[in-house]
Amino acid sequence: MATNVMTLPRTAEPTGLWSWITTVDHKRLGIMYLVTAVAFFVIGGIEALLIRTQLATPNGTVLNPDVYNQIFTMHGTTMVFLAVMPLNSGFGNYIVPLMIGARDMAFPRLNAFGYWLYLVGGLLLYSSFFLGGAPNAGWFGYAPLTERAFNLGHGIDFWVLSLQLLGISSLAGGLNFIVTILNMRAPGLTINRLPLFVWGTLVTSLLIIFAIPSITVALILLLFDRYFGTMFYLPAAQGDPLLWQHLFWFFGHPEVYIMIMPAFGIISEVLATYSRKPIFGYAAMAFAFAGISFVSFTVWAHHMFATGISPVADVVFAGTSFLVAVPTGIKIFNWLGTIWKGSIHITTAFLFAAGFIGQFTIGGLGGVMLATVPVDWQITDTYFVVGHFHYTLFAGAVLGLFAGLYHWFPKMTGRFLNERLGQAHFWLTMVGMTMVFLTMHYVGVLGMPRRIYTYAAGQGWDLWNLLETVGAFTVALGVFIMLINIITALRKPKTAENDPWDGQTLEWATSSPPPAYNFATMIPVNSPRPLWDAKYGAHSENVEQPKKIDLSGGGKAHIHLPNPSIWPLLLSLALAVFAVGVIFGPQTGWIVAPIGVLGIFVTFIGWLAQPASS
Amino acid sequence: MHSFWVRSSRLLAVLVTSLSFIALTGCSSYIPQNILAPFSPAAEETASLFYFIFWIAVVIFIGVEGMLVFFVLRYQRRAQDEHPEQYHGNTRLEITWTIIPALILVVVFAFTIRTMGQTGPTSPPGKGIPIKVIGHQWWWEIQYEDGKVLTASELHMPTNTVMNIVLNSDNVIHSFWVPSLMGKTDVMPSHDNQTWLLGNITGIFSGQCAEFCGAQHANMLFRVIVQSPSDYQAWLANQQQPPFEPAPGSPAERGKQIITDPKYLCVGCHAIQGTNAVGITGPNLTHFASRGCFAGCRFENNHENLTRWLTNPEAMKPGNLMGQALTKLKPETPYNPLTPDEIAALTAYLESLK
Amino acid sequence: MSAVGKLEQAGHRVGETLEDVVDEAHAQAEHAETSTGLDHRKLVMWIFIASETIFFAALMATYLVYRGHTPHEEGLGHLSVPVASFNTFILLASSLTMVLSLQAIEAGKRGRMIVLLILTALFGLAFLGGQAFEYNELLKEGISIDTNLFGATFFTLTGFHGTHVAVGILWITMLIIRALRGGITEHNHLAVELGGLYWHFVDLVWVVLFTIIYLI
Ligand code: HEA
Ligand code: HEA
Ligand code: HEC
Ligand code: CUA
Ligand SMILES: [Cu+2]
Repeated sequence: MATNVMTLPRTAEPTGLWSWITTVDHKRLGIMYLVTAVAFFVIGGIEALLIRTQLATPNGTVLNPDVYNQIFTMHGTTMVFLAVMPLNSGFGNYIVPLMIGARDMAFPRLNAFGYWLYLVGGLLLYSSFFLGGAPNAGWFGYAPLTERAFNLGHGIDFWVLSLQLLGISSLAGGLNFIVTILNMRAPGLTINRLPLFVWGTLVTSLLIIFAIPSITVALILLLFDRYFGTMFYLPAAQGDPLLWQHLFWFFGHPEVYIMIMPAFGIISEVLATYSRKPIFGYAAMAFAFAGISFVSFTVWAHHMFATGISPVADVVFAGTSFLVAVPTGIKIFNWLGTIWKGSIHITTAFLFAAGFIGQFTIGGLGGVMLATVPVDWQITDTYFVVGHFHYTLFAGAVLGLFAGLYHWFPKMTGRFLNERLGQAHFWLTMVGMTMVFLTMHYVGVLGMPRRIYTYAAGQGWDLWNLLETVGAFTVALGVFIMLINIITALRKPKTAENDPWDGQTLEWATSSPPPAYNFATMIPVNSPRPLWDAKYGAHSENVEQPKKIDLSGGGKAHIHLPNPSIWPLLLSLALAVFAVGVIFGPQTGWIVAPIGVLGIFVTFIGWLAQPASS
Repeated sequence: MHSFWVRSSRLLAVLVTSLSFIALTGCSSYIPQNILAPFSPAAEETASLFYFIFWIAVVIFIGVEGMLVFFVLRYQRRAQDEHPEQYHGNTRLEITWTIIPALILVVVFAFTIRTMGQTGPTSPPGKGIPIKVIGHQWWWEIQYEDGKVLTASELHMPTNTVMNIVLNSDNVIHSFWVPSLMGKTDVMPSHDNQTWLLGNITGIFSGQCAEFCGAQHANMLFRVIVQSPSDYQAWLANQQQPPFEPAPGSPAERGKQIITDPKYLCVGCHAIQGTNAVGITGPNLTHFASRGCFAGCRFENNHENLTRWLTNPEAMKPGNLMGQALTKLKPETPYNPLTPDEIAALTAYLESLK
Repeated sequence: MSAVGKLEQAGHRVGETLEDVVDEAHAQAEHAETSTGLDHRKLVMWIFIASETIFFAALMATYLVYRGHTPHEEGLGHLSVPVASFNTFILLASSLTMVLSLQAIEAGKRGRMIVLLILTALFGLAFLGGQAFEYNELLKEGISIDTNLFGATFFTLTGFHGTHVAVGILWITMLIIRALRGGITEHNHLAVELGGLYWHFVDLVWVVLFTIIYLI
């Protein structure tokens, strides 16, 4: 199998802690994102296990009500903002530049800044546990429960400020991805040839760009209410809590697609690779990405059917919600078309991708039931909703990310994950997940509301809740096996070749793991799967046998790589100082926040003054 | 759309629930919160719609899952160098699987709109008895007769009569929900929402707050008691009576003295008609003993529970405002703790407030 | 030119001194060929502005939602349309000087550009002065951010716009400093273009704000 690597004399890659702290290499940052996000995923998972333990039996006594409320709020917030979104960023960072044949991201330091701010924001959020209590008003923090009048502690303040930092971090990442994908494509890689994972990342980034400002404003107004005596959400002074809901869900609904689209992309790659076929209906797939993103900005009030907005609005938003099912269906069917008559190699990655199709469909169909307004009046805010969104988020986004992990692990580390352990992980996940989340739909129909820390016996819920708890621990066992698998694999020697899966896209055209400069030679790109064409061009449709472009300058090239920089971390820290200064503003006489602003200014200047590359 | 499914599932629900509840409470008509065991026209319509899309979903699910499993089993790689034919798509097929789901959704959309008309909170089937329901942290206040009758946790209504309900809150958002009778409507502090209830058989229907509203959201329940019109009238007449007056020297008398003694603070939060107790933070106690449950309907109203409540409300319902105020914020009050005989006197009085 | 292309080019530079390569790379970065033909920084600026649009749209929506409330109408009565119109005029003038400064440097007239940039910054400051005056008037009437919904929405909306203006002034100041040190030339003036993009956007936002607050 011809792969196209020519190694350049490698300037020894820097090692040591300092080199990681100052790195601006997209691959390192990708790994840092992934490791941090997996850590937060496990933390969020442990919180889920606490929830499940409390609810295993009626009248549970493991957590007291306030702690329970903190735990489920943190679970939701963690999984959404600290696990799934950064996992997407991690894979995007590592893979997207490789897939488009670029040397790095467009703005390497901005990239580092995105990571550090994410870490700092996550730590800030978690520090609330030790500084007077975590936020406890749910992941969508409906006002006025979040107002000072009903929520005295600092939990909500931590929540507001960390979400702001995380929002900036996501924006930084989103801007960077868009510019990278639009501007740094290899010759021949036109927009209509982008691999679907790149498409997924592109539309996700666009969603981020347009959705995040809405929650930013929502949080600013809440902050002002809590600190400066405004009354945006306070009914007593004519403010309207519905404003919060509109602003939040205008962000919140696109947000759920922000979490799923990269997974859509990953499994597109995975299914095609292991079936040895091109994506079925590539154009429709790309169009569906665009369609889903666009429509996703018009459905937000389907989270508000029961709030007493007008029936006309209900009808409109139900209609748009149904509409979004059409492009999603196109994707499902095209995935099926991709494996149809393929030559399927059943690996763990493929299993997770196939599992994704099977399970996500359930989640999507549940979504359509929720969009049916009268039915939603019954099942909104019950466990049916909880079942729905875990089927889309866990059985969707997370399964997709697992598929990506098994698929790209050899590329990123040069080592294989153990397939047997992988399959154990897969089956435990499938079985456990069904036990937890399918049953949730049913207890929801039996009338169990969500966000209750306890329930009385004898309502027909007991058995199912117990089953869910058992299922949750089954899933946890699977995740545990995955962690073991990763750790043992990392201790083994590097045995992965460059293109172990018979890949189709450019990331497999360089070494595993790739050198700091990614590519020494570039193959011409004539389709969404250039490497495949390079390997089998004659077999597939008359693509002429590609010529390699030598980038090595006779093997003695001087390669420009961006400078390492400490400023991204320092700027993130300055922002954190500012955030803490705001949270404890009244206690500290508002002197810390200005120090933070000064720090932001100084670090920003430092950043500008440092040349980007040398 | 009264399908076979609704009827049979309702039958099953009645069987199951009456079995478990006869065992539990001895009351044979307590209906739990199953939305597929509807007992009102609105809930029935909704359940039918639910089944309608549920079965559509099942068919789609079977189709997708069937293809998936079949393809995965059928098209496994047989040889290392096997190369399948490189299909890039098929426009005809792709148009088909765009149009068919779209058409299905148009049908679902049509039924959605139709059912909204029959079950919508703003489209009651007529005018009946106007009442007001107020969501508190964490209990429900129900007002009849323009606020002249105030009660809590139990909503009484006659059969075959529309109850036109105005919902409001003076604090955070709650959501009013009686699964077997009617879907949810949020209880907003910023504006009055409306909903309605209509029950055509007598029974006790379980309801619960469905919007997260703070520490004790889990224990913000209530009951809807649908009774014959005459029973309803009798109940309403009783609620309009002044409270029971205990005989001088009786334990209940002593209880009344304590509860109306400002230093015990009760009067600051609770109201008992004709006394100095005029608080509005807690439930109106004028006819407390006529209620079957209390404190957000999480507890049966019996002597033992009441004694526990007065001894330590915080332990029973952690975070509730009475417990917070009395045992946490004001540890110096005589309330903290009340002596056993004070409690006995209080329960005697409260239990006399039929 | 794609990154790969750049690598390729760089490859031919073996033997040149490091400085040469650096200079070359900088020069290339300014005019680098990208897949879209737009410089990275220009592209990111446009996307950032798109994002900011939603930010201001959300704030304006908030303002408009609460416009109907009574205290709001009372608050409006305290605003001075002439002052605001003057401010609008100043800001529009600053956009003009910004455009002219870009034209100047494109024509190689560095001194002229610096003068125009200074003018732009001064106009910005004048605008902030006008805003300060207006705030002060309101505060004297007893309307502040926590008085009622008018105060809350008005101060928040115009405050965030004002902050953007302030950031713009800082930005222009840095441009001026850089220009004085010779960092901006006829062939290397992307920085001015970027600052201009931002500045025009902020002005445009003001025009919309002016319309919804003072005119309708
Ligand atoms: C990745 C995340 C994700 C995804 C992809 C979706 C997808 C969808 N969601 Fe979901 N949703 C959430 C995450 C997600 N959701 C979350 C987190 C919440 C709750 C937030 C909270 O309250 O905490 C929520 C809540 C939520 C609600 C509000 C419920 C409530 O609170 O009352 C609604 C209501 O309409 C809804 C609808 C939909 C619809 C119509 C889709 C559609 O996009 C689904 C489309 C897919 C399919 C339909 C399947 C495949 C299609 C076919 C096989 C074609 C044939 C199909 C038909 C003809 C029907 N979602
Ligand atoms: C991507 C998002 C995501 C993911 C992956 C999950 C994963 C899980 N969720 Fe989550 N969940 C949400 C997003 C997510 N959730 C959101 C947004 C809410 C709403 C919050 C709100 O209402 O505000 C919610 C709410 C929610 C509830 C409802 C709480 C309530 O309403 O009261 C429940 C209840 O069971 C639950 C359970 C679970 C379980 C069992 C998992 C499992 O799949 C988790 C599996 C993972 C693990 C179990 C980790 C593995 C752990 C180990 C291997 C530990 C071993 C190691 C050591 C001990 C050192 N979730
Ligand atoms: C701070 C206000 C406050 C004070 C003081 C107070 N209560 Fe309460 N009380 C409440 C609230 C609030 C509830 C409802 C709690 C819940 O269900 O969450 C309640 C519930 C009750 C109930 C149950 C009523 C029902 O129908 O649910 C009784 C009985 C009661 N209180 C008795 C008393 C007595 C006796 C005292 C004085 C010794 C007292 N309360 C003092 C606020 C108060
Ligand atoms: Cu009231 Cu939940
Ligand atoms: Cu949604």
